Amino acid sequence: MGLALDRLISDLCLGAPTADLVAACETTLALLPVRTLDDAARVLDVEAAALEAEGCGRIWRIAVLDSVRDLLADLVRAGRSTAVRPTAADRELLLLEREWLALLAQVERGTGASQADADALWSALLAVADAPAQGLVGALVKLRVLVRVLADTATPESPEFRLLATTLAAVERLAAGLVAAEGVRKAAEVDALFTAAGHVMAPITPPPALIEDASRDTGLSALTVQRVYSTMMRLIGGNA
Amino acid sequence: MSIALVLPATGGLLTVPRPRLRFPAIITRRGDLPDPGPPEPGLVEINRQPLRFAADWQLAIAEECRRQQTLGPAVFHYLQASNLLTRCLYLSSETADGPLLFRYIGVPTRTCLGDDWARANLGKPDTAPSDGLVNGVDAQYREAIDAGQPVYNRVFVTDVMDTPLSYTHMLVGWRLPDGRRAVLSALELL
Repeated sequence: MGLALDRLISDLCLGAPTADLVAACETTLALLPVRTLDDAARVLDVEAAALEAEGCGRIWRIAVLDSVRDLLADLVRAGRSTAVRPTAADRELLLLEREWLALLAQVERGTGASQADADALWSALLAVADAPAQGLVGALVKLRVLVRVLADTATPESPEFRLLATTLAAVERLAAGLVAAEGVRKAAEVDALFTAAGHVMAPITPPPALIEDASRDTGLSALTVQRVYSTMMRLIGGNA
Repeated sequence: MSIALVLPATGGLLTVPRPRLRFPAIITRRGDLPDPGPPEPGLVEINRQPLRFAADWQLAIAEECRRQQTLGPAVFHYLQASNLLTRCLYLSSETADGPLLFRYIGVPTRTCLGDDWARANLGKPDTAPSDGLVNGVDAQYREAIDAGQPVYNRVFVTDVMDTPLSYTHMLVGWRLPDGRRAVLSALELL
Protein backbone atom coordinates (compact mmCIF):
# COMPACT_ATOMS: atom_id res chain seq x y z
CA MET A 1 0.00 0.00 0.00
CA GLY A 2 2.76 2.41 0.95
CA LEU A 3 4.47 2.11 -2.43
CA ALA A 4 1.27 2.68 -4.39
CA LEU A 5 0.47 5.80 -2.41
CA ASP A 6 4.02 7.11 -2.64
CA ARG A 7 3.89 6.77 -6.42
CA LEU A 8 0.56 8.65 -6.57
CA ILE A 9 1.82 11.43 -4.34
CA SER A 10 5.02 11.70 -6.32
CA ASP A 11 3.07 12.00 -9.58
CA LEU A 12 0.73 14.58 -8.10
CA CYS A 13 3.64 16.66 -6.86
CA LEU A 14 4.88 16.98 -10.40
CA GLY A 15 1.99 19.23 -11.34
CA ALA A 16 -1.75 19.71 -11.48
CA PRO A 17 -3.51 16.35 -11.69
CA THR A 18 -4.48 15.24 -15.14
CA ALA A 19 -7.61 13.27 -15.90
CA ASP A 20 -5.54 10.10 -16.28
CA LEU A 21 -3.80 10.66 -12.97
CA VAL A 22 -7.08 11.27 -11.17
CA ALA A 23 -8.52 8.13 -12.69
CA ALA A 24 -5.45 6.24 -11.51
CA CYS A 25 -5.87 7.73 -8.03
CA GLU A 26 -9.52 6.72 -7.93
CA THR A 27 -8.75 3.19 -8.99
CA THR A 28 -5.85 2.85 -6.59
CA LEU A 29 -7.71 4.31 -3.61
CA ALA A 30 -10.78 2.17 -4.30
CA LEU A 31 -8.69 -0.98 -4.39
CA LEU A 32 -6.44 -0.21 -1.43
CA PRO A 33 -7.22 -2.12 1.73
CA VAL A 34 -7.68 0.81 4.10
CA ARG A 35 -7.73 -1.11 7.34
CA THR A 36 -5.99 1.14 9.80
CA LEU A 37 -6.02 4.77 10.80
CA ASP A 38 -2.49 4.99 9.49
CA ASP A 39 -3.75 3.81 6.08
CA ALA A 40 -6.45 6.51 6.14
CA ALA A 41 -3.91 9.18 7.02
CA ARG A 42 -1.79 8.08 4.06
CA VAL A 43 -4.84 8.24 1.78
CA LEU A 44 -5.37 11.80 2.90
CA ASP A 45 -1.78 12.52 1.93
CA VAL A 46 -2.79 11.81 -1.65
CA GLU A 47 -5.66 14.25 -1.47
CA ALA A 48 -3.47 16.89 0.17
CA ALA A 49 -0.88 16.48 -2.58
CA ALA A 50 -3.62 16.85 -5.20
CA LEU A 51 -4.92 20.05 -3.61
CA GLU A 52 -1.45 21.49 -3.22
CA ALA A 53 -0.75 20.71 -6.87
CA GLU A 54 -3.77 22.79 -7.80
CA GLY A 55 -1.93 25.80 -6.40
CA CYS A 56 -3.12 28.82 -4.46
CA GLY A 57 -6.83 29.28 -3.79
CA ARG A 58 -7.02 25.93 -2.05
CA ILE A 59 -5.48 27.05 1.20
CA TRP A 60 -8.62 26.76 3.29
CA ARG A 61 -9.35 23.29 1.96
CA ILE A 62 -5.77 22.23 2.47
CA ALA A 63 -5.93 23.49 6.05
CA VAL A 64 -9.08 21.47 6.74
CA LEU A 65 -7.62 18.42 5.10
CA ASP A 66 -4.37 18.83 7.00
CA SER A 67 -6.27 19.09 10.26
CA VAL A 68 -8.11 15.85 9.47
CA ARG A 69 -4.86 14.17 8.50
CA ASP A 70 -3.21 15.35 11.74
CA LEU A 71 -6.22 14.09 13.68
CA LEU A 72 -5.93 10.66 12.09
CA ALA A 73 -2.24 10.60 13.00
CA ASP A 74 -3.21 11.45 16.61
CA LEU A 75 -5.80 8.70 16.57
CA VAL A 76 -3.18 6.23 15.36
CA ARG A 77 -1.19 7.05 18.46
CA ALA A 78 -4.24 6.95 20.76
CA GLY A 79 -5.47 3.57 19.55
CA ARG A 80 -8.50 2.15 17.77
CA SER A 81 -10.95 2.20 20.66
CA THR A 82 -10.37 5.93 21.16
CA ALA A 83 -10.98 6.55 17.47
CA VAL A 84 -14.50 5.14 17.41
CA ARG A 85 -15.59 6.42 20.82
CA PRO A 86 -18.09 9.26 20.40
CA THR A 87 -16.80 12.36 22.12
CA ALA A 88 -18.43 15.60 23.17
CA ALA A 89 -16.35 17.47 20.60
CA ASP A 90 -17.50 15.18 17.79
CA ARG A 91 -21.12 15.48 18.87
CA GLU A 92 -20.70 19.25 18.74
CA LEU A 93 -19.30 18.91 15.22
CA LEU A 94 -22.29 16.81 14.16
CA LEU A 95 -24.56 19.54 15.51
CA LEU A 96 -22.67 22.25 13.64
CA GLU A 97 -22.85 20.17 10.44
CA ARG A 98 -26.63 19.79 10.83
CA GLU A 99 -27.02 23.54 11.41
CA TRP A 100 -24.94 24.34 8.33
CA LEU A 101 -26.89 21.88 6.18
CA ALA A 102 -30.21 23.25 7.46
CA LEU A 103 -29.10 26.78 6.61
CA LEU A 104 -27.94 25.62 3.19
CA ALA A 105 -31.29 23.94 2.50
CA GLN A 106 -33.15 27.04 3.64
CA VAL A 107 -31.12 29.27 1.33
CA GLU A 108 -31.57 26.85 -1.58
CA ARG A 109 -35.35 26.87 -1.08
CA GLY A 110 -35.38 30.69 -1.16
CA THR A 111 -35.78 32.73 -4.33
CA GLY A 112 -32.37 34.33 -4.15
CA ALA A 113 -29.57 34.33 -1.64
CA SER A 114 -29.04 37.67 -0.01
CA GLN A 115 -25.70 38.92 1.26
CA ALA A 116 -26.94 38.19 4.79
CA ASP A 117 -27.63 34.56 3.81
CA ALA A 118 -24.19 34.22 2.27
CA ASP A 119 -22.57 35.66 5.40
CA ALA A 120 -24.55 33.32 7.64
CA LEU A 121 -23.59 30.33 5.50
CA TRP A 122 -19.94 31.30 5.54
CA SER A 123 -20.03 31.74 9.34
CA ALA A 124 -21.66 28.34 9.77
CA LEU A 125 -19.07 26.76 7.50
CA LEU A 126 -16.20 28.37 9.39
CA ALA A 127 -17.73 27.14 12.64
CA VAL A 128 -17.48 23.58 11.35
CA ALA A 129 -13.96 24.16 10.05
CA ASP A 130 -12.72 25.71 13.29
CA ALA A 131 -14.33 23.21 15.69
CA PRO A 132 -11.86 20.54 16.78
CA ALA A 133 -12.54 16.88 15.97
CA GLN A 134 -11.50 14.16 18.39
CA GLY A 135 -12.44 10.90 16.72
CA LEU A 136 -13.30 9.34 13.40
CA VAL A 137 -16.85 10.70 13.66
CA GLY A 138 -15.46 14.22 13.76
CA ALA A 139 -13.00 13.51 10.96
CA LEU A 140 -15.83 12.25 8.79
CA VAL A 141 -17.88 15.38 9.49
CA LYS A 142 -15.01 17.55 8.28
CA LEU A 143 -14.55 15.48 5.13
CA ARG A 144 -18.30 15.40 4.39
CA VAL A 145 -18.55 19.17 4.70
CA LEU A 146 -15.54 19.61 2.46
CA VAL A 147 -17.05 17.32 -0.18
CA ARG A 148 -20.33 19.22 -0.02
CA VAL A 149 -18.57 22.55 -0.42
CA LEU A 150 -16.73 21.18 -3.44
CA ALA A 151 -19.96 19.78 -4.84
CA ASP A 152 -21.40 23.30 -4.79
CA THR A 153 -18.33 25.10 -6.05
CA ALA A 154 -16.60 22.65 -8.38
CA THR A 155 -17.85 20.39 -11.10
CA PRO A 156 -18.32 16.74 -10.19
CA GLU A 157 -15.65 15.86 -12.76
CA SER A 158 -13.04 18.14 -11.21
CA PRO A 159 -9.99 16.27 -9.93
CA GLU A 160 -10.19 17.62 -6.40
CA PHE A 161 -13.85 16.68 -6.02
CA ARG A 162 -13.38 13.18 -7.36
CA LEU A 163 -10.31 12.61 -5.24
CA LEU A 164 -11.91 13.92 -2.08
CA ALA A 165 -15.05 11.86 -2.66
CA THR A 166 -12.85 8.78 -3.04
CA THR A 167 -10.95 9.69 0.10
CA LEU A 168 -14.15 10.16 2.04
CA ALA A 169 -15.42 6.77 0.88
CA ALA A 170 -12.15 5.15 2.00
CA VAL A 171 -12.32 6.75 5.47
CA GLU A 172 -16.01 5.83 5.79
CA ARG A 173 -15.15 2.21 4.98
CA LEU A 174 -12.42 2.32 7.57
CA ALA A 175 -14.72 3.86 10.19
CA ALA A 176 -17.43 1.27 9.53
CA GLY A 177 -14.85 -1.50 9.84
CA LEU A 178 -13.46 -0.11 13.09
CA VAL A 179 -16.92 0.37 14.57
CA ALA A 180 -17.84 -3.20 13.64
CA ALA A 181 -14.58 -4.52 15.11
CA GLU A 182 -15.22 -2.56 18.29
CA GLY A 183 -18.75 -4.02 18.47
CA VAL A 184 -17.41 -7.54 18.05
CA ARG A 185 -14.79 -6.96 20.73
CA LYS A 186 -17.38 -5.57 23.17
CA ALA A 187 -19.81 -8.42 22.55
CA ALA A 188 -17.07 -10.99 23.17
CA GLU A 189 -16.28 -9.16 26.39
CA VAL A 190 -19.94 -9.37 27.42
CA ASP A 191 -19.97 -13.12 26.78
CA ALA A 192 -16.88 -13.49 28.99
CA LEU A 193 -18.43 -11.37 31.76
CA PHE A 194 -21.68 -13.37 31.82
CA THR A 195 -19.85 -16.68 31.66
CA ALA A 196 -17.54 -15.73 34.53
CA ALA A 197 -20.52 -14.57 36.62
CA GLY A 198 -22.36 -17.82 35.89
CA HIS A 199 -19.53 -19.94 37.25
CA VAL A 200 -19.41 -18.22 40.64
CA MET A 201 -23.13 -18.22 41.46
CA ALA A 202 -24.26 -19.56 44.81
CA PRO A 203 -26.09 -22.91 44.44
CA ILE A 204 -29.86 -23.01 44.79
CA THR A 205 -29.50 -26.15 46.92
CA PRO A 206 -26.57 -25.63 49.26
CA PRO A 207 -24.31 -28.60 50.02
CA PRO A 208 -24.91 -30.09 53.50
CA ALA A 209 -21.41 -29.10 54.60
CA LEU A 210 -22.24 -25.44 53.95
CA ILE A 211 -25.37 -25.67 56.10
CA GLU A 212 -23.49 -27.45 58.86
CA ASP A 213 -20.71 -24.87 58.85
CA ALA A 214 -23.19 -21.98 58.91
CA SER A 215 -25.17 -23.68 61.68
CA ARG A 216 -22.03 -24.11 63.77
CA ASP A 217 -20.84 -20.54 63.13
CA THR A 218 -24.19 -18.88 63.88
CA GLY A 219 -25.57 -21.17 66.57
CA LEU A 220 -28.79 -21.56 64.59
CA SER A 221 -30.29 -24.92 63.83
CA ALA A 222 -29.55 -26.49 60.47
CA LEU A 223 -33.24 -26.18 59.55
CA THR A 224 -33.23 -22.44 60.31
CA VAL A 225 -30.06 -21.93 58.31
CA GLN A 226 -31.64 -23.86 55.43
CA ARG A 227 -34.73 -21.64 55.56
CA VAL A 228 -32.68 -18.44 55.70
CA TYR A 229 -30.68 -19.63 52.70
CA SER A 230 -33.81 -20.51 50.72
CA THR A 231 -35.35 -17.13 51.51
CA MET A 232 -32.18 -15.38 50.43
CA MET A 233 -32.14 -17.25 47.12
CA ARG A 234 -35.79 -16.45 46.50
CA LEU A 235 -35.05 -12.78 47.17
CA ILE A 236 -32.11 -12.56 44.80
CA GLY A 237 -34.11 -14.49 42.22
CA GLY A 238 -36.92 -11.98 42.47
CA ASN A 239 -39.43 -14.46 43.87
CA ALA A 240 -39.79 -13.45 47.50
CA MET B 1 -111.63 -70.64 59.43
CA SER B 2 -107.87 -70.84 59.59
CA ILE B 3 -105.31 -69.95 56.89
CA ALA B 4 -102.28 -72.21 56.63
CA LEU B 5 -98.89 -71.11 55.15
CA VAL B 6 -97.74 -73.83 52.86
CA LEU B 7 -93.94 -73.93 52.48
CA PRO B 8 -92.29 -75.61 49.53
CA ALA B 9 -90.79 -78.92 50.15
CA THR B 10 -87.19 -77.80 49.66
CA GLY B 11 -86.03 -77.78 53.16
CA GLY B 12 -88.38 -75.31 54.62
CA LEU B 13 -85.97 -72.25 54.04
CA LEU B 14 -87.18 -69.05 52.46
CA THR B 15 -84.77 -68.38 49.60
CA VAL B 16 -84.30 -64.82 48.36
CA PRO B 17 -82.68 -64.44 44.95
CA ARG B 18 -79.21 -62.85 45.32
CA PRO B 19 -77.80 -60.47 42.77
CA ARG B 20 -74.62 -61.78 41.19
CA LEU B 21 -71.74 -59.51 42.09
CA ARG B 22 -69.64 -58.33 39.12
CA PHE B 23 -66.18 -56.93 39.85
CA PRO B 24 -64.81 -54.31 37.58
CA ALA B 25 -62.14 -55.55 35.18
CA ILE B 26 -59.50 -53.34 36.75
CA ILE B 27 -59.30 -55.43 39.86
CA THR B 28 -59.82 -58.87 38.39
CA ARG B 29 -56.11 -59.34 37.67
CA ARG B 30 -53.21 -57.15 36.65
CA GLY B 31 -53.07 -58.28 33.07
CA ASP B 32 -56.52 -56.85 32.38
CA LEU B 33 -55.46 -53.20 32.84
CA PRO B 34 -56.83 -51.09 30.00
CA ASP B 35 -54.31 -49.82 27.45
CA PRO B 36 -53.23 -46.37 28.69
CA GLY B 37 -52.48 -45.16 25.15
CA PRO B 38 -49.70 -42.73 24.25
CA PRO B 39 -48.62 -40.32 27.03
CA GLU B 40 -50.31 -36.96 26.92
CA PRO B 41 -47.99 -34.29 25.48
CA GLY B 42 -46.98 -31.48 27.81
CA LEU B 43 -48.96 -28.31 27.46
CA VAL B 44 -46.97 -25.22 26.49
CA GLU B 45 -48.69 -21.88 26.14
CA ILE B 46 -46.79 -18.74 25.23
CA ASN B 47 -48.95 -15.66 25.20
CA ARG B 48 -47.68 -12.29 23.99
CA GLN B 49 -48.37 -9.48 26.43
CA PRO B 50 -48.09 -5.70 26.04
CA LEU B 51 -44.82 -4.39 27.44
CA ARG B 52 -46.71 -2.25 29.92
CA PHE B 53 -47.84 -5.42 31.69
CA ALA B 54 -44.24 -6.28 32.59
CA ALA B 55 -42.84 -5.83 36.07
CA ASP B 56 -41.05 -2.53 36.68
CA TRP B 57 -37.65 -4.23 36.89
CA GLN B 58 -38.22 -6.04 33.59
CA LEU B 59 -39.16 -2.75 31.94
CA ALA B 60 -36.09 -1.10 33.47
CA ILE B 61 -33.84 -3.72 31.87
CA ALA B 62 -35.51 -3.28 28.47
CA GLU B 63 -35.19 0.49 28.74
CA GLU B 64 -31.51 0.33 29.69
CA CYS B 65 -30.76 -1.99 26.75
CA ARG B 66 -32.58 0.40 24.42
CA ARG B 67 -30.57 3.31 25.83
CA GLN B 68 -27.28 1.49 25.33
CA GLN B 69 -28.27 0.66 21.71
CA THR B 70 -25.51 -1.92 21.32
CA LEU B 71 -24.57 -4.90 23.45
CA GLY B 72 -21.51 -3.98 25.47
CA PRO B 73 -20.07 -4.40 28.95
CA ALA B 74 -22.23 -1.47 30.09
CA VAL B 75 -25.32 -3.70 29.87
CA PHE B 76 -23.71 -6.35 32.09
CA HIS B 77 -22.43 -3.77 34.59
CA TYR B 78 -25.92 -2.24 34.80
CA LEU B 79 -27.45 -5.63 35.61
CA GLN B 80 -24.78 -6.32 38.20
CA ALA B 81 -25.01 -2.91 39.88
CA SER B 82 -28.82 -3.06 40.03
CA ASN B 83 -28.79 -6.63 41.46
CA LEU B 84 -30.97 -7.76 38.55
CA LEU B 85 -28.36 -10.00 36.99
CA THR B 86 -29.42 -13.05 39.02
CA ARG B 87 -32.95 -12.81 37.60
CA CYS B 88 -31.73 -13.15 34.03
CA LEU B 89 -30.76 -15.73 31.47
CA TYR B 90 -28.22 -14.84 28.79
CA LEU B 91 -27.53 -16.79 25.60
CA SER B 92 -25.36 -16.06 22.59
CA SER B 93 -24.22 -17.99 19.54
CA GLU B 94 -20.64 -18.85 18.60
CA THR B 95 -21.29 -18.18 14.92
CA ALA B 96 -23.88 -16.40 12.81
CA ASP B 97 -25.77 -19.61 12.04
CA GLY B 98 -24.94 -21.52 15.21
CA PRO B 99 -27.39 -22.25 18.02
CA LEU B 100 -27.80 -19.97 21.00
CA LEU B 101 -25.68 -21.24 23.89
CA PHE B 102 -26.30 -20.68 27.59
CA ARG B 103 -23.73 -18.22 28.98
CA TYR B 104 -25.49 -17.33 32.21
CA ILE B 105 -28.32 -19.13 33.99
CA GLY B 106 -29.93 -17.11 36.75
CA VAL B 107 -31.82 -18.07 39.87
CA PRO B 108 -35.35 -18.49 38.42
CA THR B 109 -34.22 -21.06 35.85
CA ARG B 110 -32.00 -22.87 38.33
CA THR B 111 -34.83 -22.93 40.86
CA CYS B 112 -36.92 -24.84 38.31
CA LEU B 113 -34.31 -27.04 36.70
CA GLY B 114 -31.68 -27.36 39.43
CA ASP B 115 -28.04 -26.51 39.94
CA ASP B 116 -26.80 -29.70 38.30
CA TRP B 117 -28.80 -29.02 35.16
CA ALA B 118 -27.49 -25.44 35.04
CA ARG B 119 -23.87 -26.51 35.52
CA ALA B 120 -24.20 -29.15 32.82
CA ASN B 121 -25.81 -26.76 30.33
CA LEU B 122 -23.53 -23.73 30.54
CA GLY B 123 -21.95 -23.30 27.11
CA LYS B 124 -24.50 -25.64 25.51
CA PRO B 125 -27.66 -25.13 23.42
CA ASP B 126 -31.07 -24.89 25.11
CA THR B 127 -32.13 -28.40 26.12
CA ALA B 128 -34.86 -27.82 28.71
CA PRO B 129 -36.73 -31.02 29.56
CA SER B 130 -39.67 -29.95 27.42
CA ASP B 131 -39.40 -30.03 23.63
CA GLY B 132 -42.47 -27.86 23.34
CA LEU B 133 -40.91 -25.23 25.59
CA VAL B 134 -37.55 -25.31 23.79
CA ASN B 135 -39.15 -24.90 20.36
CA GLY B 136 -41.67 -22.33 21.52
CA VAL B 137 -39.19 -20.15 23.35
CA ASP B 138 -36.62 -20.43 20.55
CA ALA B 139 -39.11 -18.82 18.17
CA GLN B 140 -39.53 -15.98 20.67
CA TYR B 141 -35.74 -15.55 20.91
CA ARG B 142 -35.52 -15.35 17.12
CA GLU B 143 -38.25 -12.73 16.99
CA ALA B 144 -36.59 -10.57 19.65
CA ILE B 145 -33.26 -10.75 17.80
CA ASP B 146 -34.59 -10.17 14.29
CA ALA B 147 -37.06 -7.43 15.21
CA GLY B 148 -34.63 -5.62 17.48
CA GLN B 149 -37.55 -4.88 19.80
CA PRO B 150 -38.17 -6.27 23.30
CA VAL B 151 -40.66 -9.15 23.47
CA TYR B 152 -42.74 -9.83 26.58
CA ASN B 153 -44.58 -13.13 27.10
CA ARG B 154 -46.45 -15.05 29.72
CA VAL B 155 -45.46 -18.72 29.58
CA PHE B 156 -47.34 -21.71 30.98
CA VAL B 157 -45.80 -25.19 30.72
CA THR B 158 -46.78 -28.48 32.33
CA ASP B 159 -43.95 -30.87 31.61
CA VAL B 160 -40.90 -29.16 33.04
CA MET B 161 -41.57 -29.70 36.73
CA ASP B 162 -43.89 -31.93 38.78
CA THR B 163 -46.32 -29.04 39.00
CA PRO B 164 -47.28 -26.70 36.15
CA LEU B 165 -44.89 -23.81 35.74
CA SER B 166 -45.93 -20.27 34.95
CA TYR B 167 -43.59 -17.36 34.36
CA THR B 168 -43.09 -14.18 32.36
CA HIS B 169 -40.02 -13.18 30.40
CA MET B 170 -38.84 -9.96 28.83
CA LEU B 171 -36.59 -10.79 25.89
CA VAL B 172 -34.06 -8.36 24.46
CA GLY B 173 -32.13 -9.56 21.41
CA TRP B 174 -29.12 -8.37 19.47
CA ARG B 175 -27.58 -9.18 16.11
CA LEU B 176 -23.87 -8.51 16.66
CA PRO B 177 -21.61 -6.88 14.05
CA ASP B 178 -20.02 -10.24 13.20
CA GLY B 179 -23.44 -11.81 12.61
CA ARG B 180 -23.58 -13.62 15.94
CA ARG B 181 -26.81 -13.47 17.94
CA ALA B 182 -27.42 -12.77 21.61
CA VAL B 183 -30.49 -12.63 23.81
CA LEU B 184 -31.13 -11.56 27.38
CA SER B 185 -34.18 -12.99 29.15
CA ALA B 186 -35.44 -11.30 32.32
CA LEU B 187 -37.51 -14.00 34.03
CA GLU B 188 -40.13 -13.77 36.73
CA LEU B 189 -41.68 -16.94 38.17
CA LEU B 190 -45.37 -16.57 38.94
